[in-house]
Amino acid sequence: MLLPTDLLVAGGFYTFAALAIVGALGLVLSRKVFHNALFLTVVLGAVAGAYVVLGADFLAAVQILVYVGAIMVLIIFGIMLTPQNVDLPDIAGPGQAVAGTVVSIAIFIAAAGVLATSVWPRLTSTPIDVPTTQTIGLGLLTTYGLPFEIASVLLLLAMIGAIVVAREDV
Amino acid sequence: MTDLGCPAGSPICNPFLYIRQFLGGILGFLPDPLPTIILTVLAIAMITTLIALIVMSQVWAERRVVAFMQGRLGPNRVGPAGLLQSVADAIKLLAKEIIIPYQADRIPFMLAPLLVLVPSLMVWSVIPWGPGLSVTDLNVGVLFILGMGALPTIGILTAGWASGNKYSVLGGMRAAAQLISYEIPMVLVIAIPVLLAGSLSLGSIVEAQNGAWFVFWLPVGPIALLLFLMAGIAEVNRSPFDLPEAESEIVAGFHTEYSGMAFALFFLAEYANSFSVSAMATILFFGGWGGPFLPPFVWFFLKTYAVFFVMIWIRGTLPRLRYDQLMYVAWKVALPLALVTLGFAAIELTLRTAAV
Repeated sequence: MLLPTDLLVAGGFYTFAALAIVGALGLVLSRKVFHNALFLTVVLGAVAGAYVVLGADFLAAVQILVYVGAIMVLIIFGIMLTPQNVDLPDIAGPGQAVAGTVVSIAIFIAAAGVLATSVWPRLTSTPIDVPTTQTIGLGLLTTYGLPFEIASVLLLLAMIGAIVVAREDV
Repeated sequence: MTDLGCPAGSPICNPFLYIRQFLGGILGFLPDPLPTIILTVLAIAMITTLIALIVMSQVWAERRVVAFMQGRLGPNRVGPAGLLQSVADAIKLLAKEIIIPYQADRIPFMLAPLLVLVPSLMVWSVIPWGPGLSVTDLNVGVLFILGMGALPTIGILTAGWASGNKYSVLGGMRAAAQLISYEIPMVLVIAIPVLLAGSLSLGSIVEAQNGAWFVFWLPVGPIALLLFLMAGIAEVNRSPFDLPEAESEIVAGFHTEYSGMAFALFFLAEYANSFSVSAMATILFFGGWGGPFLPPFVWFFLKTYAVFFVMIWIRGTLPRLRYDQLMYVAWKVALPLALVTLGFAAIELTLRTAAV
């Protein structure tokens, strides 16, 4: 028996999922680079919404803060710094269109096959009641301390590398 | 400090909670989630209306205060002390035509004001006006506010790009660069009250300041507050950090091509944002709703308007920065200072807890 709250959760989840799919389609099909960026924002925002519905509030907030707030701004910034009128010209020949269609359909079938045949683990116990932030914080600094540090060092290296590449007069 | 002379449960101190209970009782006959949904929708409607009214009061206050600081009278013709000037302005803006330029990209052009306004309003769903008095108290409230604070940049960039006007594009780019630069010291500084309170929930942060406000946590408190106000003013594009709309350089920046209600939405968002920054300063450093004798929400508004007054004061006093100075301040002054302050706060907290 579905409780009304469960219905709300399911409704919310499918709404956000549909929004993400619409955004992804727009992202692929739109021909203006700026519109692509806006559609990508829709996708990322919808995924954050789905996280909220699924009870992962920390993940949702970070998703908005990092992906929408920082990465999308950088992407749009990059688009604005490139020359205007970068609406993509129709350079692809008919052969390319056919090959592209075949490859995408093959990838779609492979991905759909994996998704449809795999067994999804279902949450049997009730969700933990402590704030998610506390659990994540403790986990990051105790159990997963080493991977966390390695990831930090890797990101730091990437950042320094980017600065070295960008600065010509060093 | 929270409950001096004003018990939290009493309806006089917290009329909103009383109203909520009363309405909850009336709606009790409905099946389970419906009363909660109706009450939440009502709370959202109330807060949205309240923000529109607050913005009108802010605009009036800003014009009058800046006028007095500059030895002028300011608007004083419409209503007593010019109080109805904002109403007149609002009606004028509602009646004006929205012009979409020929060069504009129509759908993003009309979407941009909403992208700027909606996150500014969503911030208010987690801001606590009093004990238990917010639409929802997320345990990631601080992160939510930071995320919502970063969203309007997308709207501003969209507005600049979709206008098809070089000044608008320049204004949008300036806004983006500015926001990315000041977001980092902002996050670091907000981490200090979070560290001291041991929680990301705004309600818990206020409750943790029951004994002493975080601004009095010497020596890091005042420095953190100063950095927060600086980054906050920069993020809401107010003078002296209002380069995205510097009229002497790039006409009106990203909203050059907007008119009527579309412009009014940007305007509304900007003031709603400056009020949220004031409210955040109140919550993070001045003990939120805590205070003796008066009801909690009165204290909250008194403190928030006091911080907003300081923002008007700064605007009335300081000249606009040059663009490279703005970036210099963000990356070479604010960022290292914020890092050092955060380190000091951590050390101090460890020493204090060890001493107890």
